[in-house]
Formats: sequence, structure tokens, C-alpha cells
Amino acid sequence: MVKLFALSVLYKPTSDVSPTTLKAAYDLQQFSFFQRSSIQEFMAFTSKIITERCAVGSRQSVKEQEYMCHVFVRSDGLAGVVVSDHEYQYRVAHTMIDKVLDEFAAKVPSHLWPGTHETAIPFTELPALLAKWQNPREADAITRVQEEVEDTKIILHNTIEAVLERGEKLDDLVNKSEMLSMQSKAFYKTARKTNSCCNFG
Amino acid sequence: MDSDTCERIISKLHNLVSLNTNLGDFDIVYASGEDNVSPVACVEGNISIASWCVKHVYAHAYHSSLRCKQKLWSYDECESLTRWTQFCLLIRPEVTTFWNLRRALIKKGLVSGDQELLLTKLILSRKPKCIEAFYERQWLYTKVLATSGHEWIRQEIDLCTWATSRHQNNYHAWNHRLWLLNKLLLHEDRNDLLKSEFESVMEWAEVHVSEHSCMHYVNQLVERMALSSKEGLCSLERVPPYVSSVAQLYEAMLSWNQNLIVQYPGHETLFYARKSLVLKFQRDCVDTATPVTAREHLVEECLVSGNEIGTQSATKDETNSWCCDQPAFKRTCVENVSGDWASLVMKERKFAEACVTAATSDFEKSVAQAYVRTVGRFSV
Repeated sequence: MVKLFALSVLYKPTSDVSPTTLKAAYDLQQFSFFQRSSIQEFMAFTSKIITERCAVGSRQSVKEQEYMCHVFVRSDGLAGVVVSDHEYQYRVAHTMIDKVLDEFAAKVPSHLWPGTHETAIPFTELPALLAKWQNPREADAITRVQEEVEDTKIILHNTIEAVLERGEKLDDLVNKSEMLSMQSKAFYKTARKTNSCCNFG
Repeated sequence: MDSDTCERIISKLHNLVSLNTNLGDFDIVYASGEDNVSPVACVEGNISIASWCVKHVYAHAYHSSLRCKQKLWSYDECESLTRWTQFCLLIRPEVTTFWNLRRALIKKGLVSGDQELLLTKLILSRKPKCIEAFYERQWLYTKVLATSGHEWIRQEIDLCTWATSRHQNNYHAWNHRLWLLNKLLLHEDRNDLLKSEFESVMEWAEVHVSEHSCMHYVNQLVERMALSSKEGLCSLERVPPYVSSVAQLYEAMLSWNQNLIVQYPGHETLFYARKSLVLKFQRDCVDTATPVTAREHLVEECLVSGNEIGTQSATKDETNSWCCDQPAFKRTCVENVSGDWASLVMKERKFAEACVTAATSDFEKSVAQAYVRTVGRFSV
């Protein structure tokens, strides 16, 4: 599958401040109705975690089960996160983050970045952008994409555990988090047990 | 939990399922059971059941239906049995006993075909890869719905698309679709059917580049197109990719596949699909004088590729007859190999080498190298 699930713009002024979500869009139609809210919470949660642990100016792509999280933090503190599946080319994903962040910065003045609530940000194009980039071929001429990002270094991580600091565990972070509802935490536990993608049945 | 409560929960679920004709998803949601709310809920046409009660109610429904199975049914019990089996199947659709009970109920006319279609769809919304549900739908078609025309099959194809997007590598859904296609081919105008099917599947395949089941379906579709045109049942000029001969059809598919390989490097599926296309080209377009060695590859491919189970019975018979070819056949045919085949193999070798050179990671390289070895084994 070549699919984008989530696109979010975050703000992380300095490396010791926890990032805030400025705007996010999701495409979760393929999931079961009752799982959608939990999956959305988890994607928001993961986006925040990896932005928190991504150095300013660096690009990372983190593999977690059947998902890929691509993150880039600009030097002015604006960060973009894309959650996709494994087939979505990560170069295209990073080009997309660049373009989306440029567009966001052009529309939303930087004095609004700190302290504004998600709903008050005057930027409604995110769902349309997410839909546009679903098909990488339609979104941009593929060759151009490759030229642009080829030079910049993308750091690849095979699990989210690799991004976490020493001693940190994802299970603990999930348990502690206030972003996640009881429902989602239970969902996380059962999803771990019944990761059914390899089953025949 | 007493049996009255269990019965109440089962009845409530049954009522919800039978009253709503336009149901969405069914799922078990987590709830501790501390709040005093009904465990069965309906949100925007989607039905949920709370996890705390599932274990007890399932045990009740399970034992009740098995007890019922052992003695002769009275009419009253049949009604309860409908509810019990429905509940059990929603929770555990893998248990064949319940499906058999359902079929007995359908044969007695106590459950209608439409009700059963609704139930299987609900089950698929929770477990899109459930083979039993697909099988039940096929059974329903052959036993109950066959008279109601082929309108149903058309809708069923939409259901397959829905199920395949719900779960990656949904082999059973694609297999079901192949079954439907074969049924439709018998009754409908092949030009229209192949055109619409080809367009929708290609669009889907382009954004699911690592789905072997889907690529296999594409290849099967192409094979049916080639076969239909040979039999004069459809004209290739009126069906995409709008070509004039079977050889051109395979060439068009190979170039489509090549674009995907270049755009999405490192997907084994695309190379397997390519190999299968090359072998199909050899079988259908190259003169009957095919070297035995290459045929052995075809045999090998059928045996190795597990996902081709859907067509195994058909291909196996053919391969068996090839294996019986006399040894003398080998000598004469190597000399007669057509130029088309040789040029295709040379082209494939060049392309495979180019893939190896263009690979940017070890994995991509190993995938491409495997293809180099594959095409290297074809004798020219």
C-alpha cells in the first residue's frame, strides 16, 4: 500500500521544551469505526514523541510496526510529521514536509506559533494537502522530488525504541501519557498481542 | 453472570442487527464494566459490544447452541438458535460448527439469504480476512441467490474492494474476487466486464505495490483477457490497454510493471509479478516449440509461489502433462525458439542488471539480484 495516514505541524522552539501541535489532519477511513479514535490518538502521541527527540535541523524516518513516521524540525522551531506506511517513499515524504511547512509559515505568522490552540490556527488546507499527496505520482513530478532531497541526509531508525533516550520505554510512556484515553491504552495492549498482519487467517 | 442477562444481551444485539439494514462496522470495545450502561451500543449505524461481557455471553451462547445441535429442533429453539449462532459467529467466525448450524437454518428457511449476507458483512468489518465469511457468501450464491441474477455479483466486487482496503495482503478477498470474475465471465459481455475490472484493479494496484495477492489477480485478469481474445470472445482493441495482439498486451503489462519497479524500488512482489508475466508471454505468444528447461521453470514457479493457490488446480493439470513430454522434444525445440522470446529475455536481463546497478540499499540489491538469477535461467 502507498498510503499517508497523518500529517501534523508542530512547534518546538528549543530542544528542552515539549512540542505543541499546531495543526493535524488524518486519513483513517480504512480502519474500523471503533478503532479510529484510538489510532488517531496514538498517531498524535507518536508524532509528539518523535518530534521531542528529533534535533533541530535534522530529518528522521522511524519505522514502527507497519507504519513509518517521518519528521523534520526546521531551525525556526516549526516541525512537520508524516505518518505513512512502508511503501510510501521516504524521500517523497520529506519533500512533502518541506512544502507543507513552507506553506504553513507563509499563511500563519510566527507570532501565533507559541501558545495558540489548535482550533485557533488559521490554516485549513492540511486535509487537502494530505489528500493531494496520497498519490505521490500525482502530487509532484517524481524526478524533481528525488533531486531535491537526495543530498540531505535522512536518518533511518528501525524502531521507535531507537529514538527514545536511554532507559526510556515506550510502554512506560504510553502508561504515563495524559494524551491517551483508557480506551486507547487498552487498544495498545491488545494490538501488541494480536498483531495479525502475518497471519494466514 | 446469569443466563437471563446473557439472553438479554444476545437479544439486544440481534434486534440491532435485524432492524438496521444499513449497518457499518461491528467491534468489541474495551470497557471495564464498572459503569451501569448497556454493553451493546449503536453509534451511527456501527455496533459495539463491551469487552467485559463477551467471555460470559459467548460461553452461554456456545453451550446453548451445542446443546441444541444434539437434539431434534423444535421451532422455538430454532429462533433462539439463530440468535446464539449469530452472536457466536460475530465473536468467533472461525468456528465451522456454527456456520454449519447456520446453513441448516437457512435450508429450513428460518434465516433468509439477505440476513446472512448482512451478518457476513458485519463479520468482515471486524475481520476483513475471514475466509469462512467469504466462503459462506459463495455458498449462499450457489444455493440461495443464484436465481436472483448477477446484479449481486457486481455489488460483491465492491465488497471485495472494501475488504482489501481494510486489511493489507487480504488474500481471501482477492481469491473471492477471482471466483466472482469467473462467474461473471460466463454470463456478461466480456468487453465491458474486462474493461471495468481492469481499470479499477490497475488503479488499486498502483498504490498497493507490495500486495502479492493483488498482483496475482492482475496477472490472472490479463491471462483471461488473452484467453478471451484467442477464443474470439472479446477484442483487445476495445479493452484497456487498447492493443491489437496478445503479445502487445503482455508487453504493455511489462512496461507498466517496469514503471512501478523504477518508481518503488525494493519490492519483491513486483519482480514476482514480472516473472509470471514473462512466463505467460512465453506460454501464450512463443511458438509451441518451447524449450523444456523453460517449462520446468514454469512448473517450479507454480509450486514455489504459494499465493497462486487459487489457480493451482488448473495449472497443475497442465504442468503434469508437460512433465510427460518425451526427452526427444528437448532437442528439436531448442533449435526452433522464436526470435521474440530471445529478444524479450535479452531485454529482461538488461533491465535486471540495471535494477542491480540502481539499487541504493542492500535489500533492494538482493531483490534485484534474485531477478537477475531468475532471468539468467531462461534459455534463449
